[in-house]
Amino acid sequence: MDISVINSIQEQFNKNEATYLAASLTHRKSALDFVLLHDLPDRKDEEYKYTPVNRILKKNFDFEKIVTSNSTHLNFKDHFYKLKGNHLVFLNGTYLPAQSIILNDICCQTEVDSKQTFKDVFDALNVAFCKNSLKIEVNEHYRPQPFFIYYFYDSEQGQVFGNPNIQITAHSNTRIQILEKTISTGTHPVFINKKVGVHVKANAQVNITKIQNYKKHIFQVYNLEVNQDAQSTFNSNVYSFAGGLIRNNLSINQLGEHCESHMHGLYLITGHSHVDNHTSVNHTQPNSYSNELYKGILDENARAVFNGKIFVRPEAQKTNAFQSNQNINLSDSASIHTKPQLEIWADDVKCSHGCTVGQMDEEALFYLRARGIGKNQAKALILIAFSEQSLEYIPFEFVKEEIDTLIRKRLIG
Amino acid sequence: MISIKNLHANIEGKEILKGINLEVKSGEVHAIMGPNGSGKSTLASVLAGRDGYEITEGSVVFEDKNLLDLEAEERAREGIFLAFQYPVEIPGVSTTNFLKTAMNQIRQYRGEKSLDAVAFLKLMKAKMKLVEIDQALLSRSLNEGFSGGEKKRNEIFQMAMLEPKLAILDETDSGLDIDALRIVAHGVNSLKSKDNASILITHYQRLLDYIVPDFVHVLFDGKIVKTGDKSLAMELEKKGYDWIKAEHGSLETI
Repeated sequence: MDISVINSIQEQFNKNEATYLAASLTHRKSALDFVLLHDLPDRKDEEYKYTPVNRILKKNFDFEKIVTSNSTHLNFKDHFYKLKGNHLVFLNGTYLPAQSIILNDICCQTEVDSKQTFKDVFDALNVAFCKNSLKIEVNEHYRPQPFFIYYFYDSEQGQVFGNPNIQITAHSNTRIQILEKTISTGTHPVFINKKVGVHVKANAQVNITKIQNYKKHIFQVYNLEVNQDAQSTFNSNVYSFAGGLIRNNLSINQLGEHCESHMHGLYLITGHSHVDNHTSVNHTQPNSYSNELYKGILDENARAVFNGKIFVRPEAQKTNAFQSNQNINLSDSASIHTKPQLEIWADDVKCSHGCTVGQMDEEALFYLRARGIGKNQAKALILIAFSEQSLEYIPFEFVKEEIDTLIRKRLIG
Repeated sequence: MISIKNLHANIEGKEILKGINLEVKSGEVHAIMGPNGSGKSTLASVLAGRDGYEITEGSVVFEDKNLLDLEAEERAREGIFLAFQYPVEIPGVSTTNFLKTAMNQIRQYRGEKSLDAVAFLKLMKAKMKLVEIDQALLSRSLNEGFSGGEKKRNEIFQMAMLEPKLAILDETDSGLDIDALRIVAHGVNSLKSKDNASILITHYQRLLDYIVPDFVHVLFDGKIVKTGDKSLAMELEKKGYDWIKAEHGSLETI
């Protein structure tokens, strides 16, 4: 156990204690105890073997130098998409209802309640420290406008420790579309520890798309836990372009029959960016479906980790579960650690998994060049074609275009 | 148009081309024949600028330019076209999109304006007829899932679009049925003019029934050992390559 990080976390908590509501204090304290007991994961923890958060934070982040000021010169509305929808603002991890545009009376700010469990240390850390919680609850048969969630981080005054906390409930026959984006200013390190819980009830549909294009002093752990009831659909799209540390934990529990889950991801990283996607799908009932496709392009000293778990429980007969992780490594010093993991207890299922790590296809490159296309343009053509498959499930056309532009900018320059 | 002098090339330290001399003038069609492993495809690759070959001796001058100094894409922009023996499948890139990019990069290199979408489509329609290729095929991923014949027709289609000065057809006839062969040959013949030239690399005389060459060269053990006209191809078809091998004795049996 590392005394210093844990100690400074404890100190931070004590400093903030007075600001927490009495009602939540006991729950927060038990969460803190959980953190102190387990410590932040390091290399010896299997799940964090290639992403030793403890070590990375120790090197780059100082819990003692956190500033808590919530003033900023950022003009939130300048960053809003010019579209009809709910525009929700977080600043340094705190939800700001007054700055948000809420069309539907379905978003509210709450205290973290004792129903919020914590399965791992980051969940617990979030519960202990989050300033408030955003609750989105959509009632039956209602199709609200999309939700654009903007996470602003201002680290001009000092280091920022942000703990956004969101609970989403989609009641039966609803459809929720969410787009998450992060905007930052300042150069001091930022540690984001995000916790999002989603409950997709029967026949409901939730789609979450995230764009992660962070500066190199931003370190993020994102726990997204999804529970799906019968006949529900959940789509996750995650596009990572840069960041000091990006760790995405996506955990899906299919609790009813005929559930459908789609997970698409792309990481297109260079420099010293580090992107780690850990996903887990738990099939517990018959006749369900999950499909996962993550693609990666790595250059320079970038590092990527992929771990995809699929569990097919004994009752989950007739499950169809597919998983694929494909990587192109463009540099000798970039690295990718990929691990598909299937555990199947049922005997009548269709499952597949596979991962590939390869280099640029030289034959294809020569073919394009032999037709007069310049080397860089030819490379870009091949890589754009490779990455575009991951854009299929984005529900917003303008987001597809935005991501497409980011890809082209990165690859063509 | 192109003048190859005493060209020697190695791959992974092994000498494949051992002194090629070849002169091709505008308006000419040259056929290069020869047994397997004689260096035919290597010659095509070296001319097109594929990586991995080491030129140890000799020179190639194309339209007053030292070809060996140019990158593969620059050679293409100067007017060299290689029809691949095995066209590469590139998932996610459509033929249309790819050709538009290629054409505009070539035009840019030559200081010409890019083609607008309408002009490009019009040109495409005209050239599609020539090789009887379907629009649907061109909007699919480049060569992905194409039959052997479709791939080769696509090569000739690209050639028709790019209008090269020198076309090198590397065993374009291999893997083609008779109908496809006729279509491909028709395409090549229609594109022939007094200002361009082609080098056909082939195993068989069959293609030469459709595309009549001005010269036939026999490549053997990295050298051109015999040059003649169309009748040389007929003779090879009848007698095989053994007599050539005997004349130019090699220790290797092929």
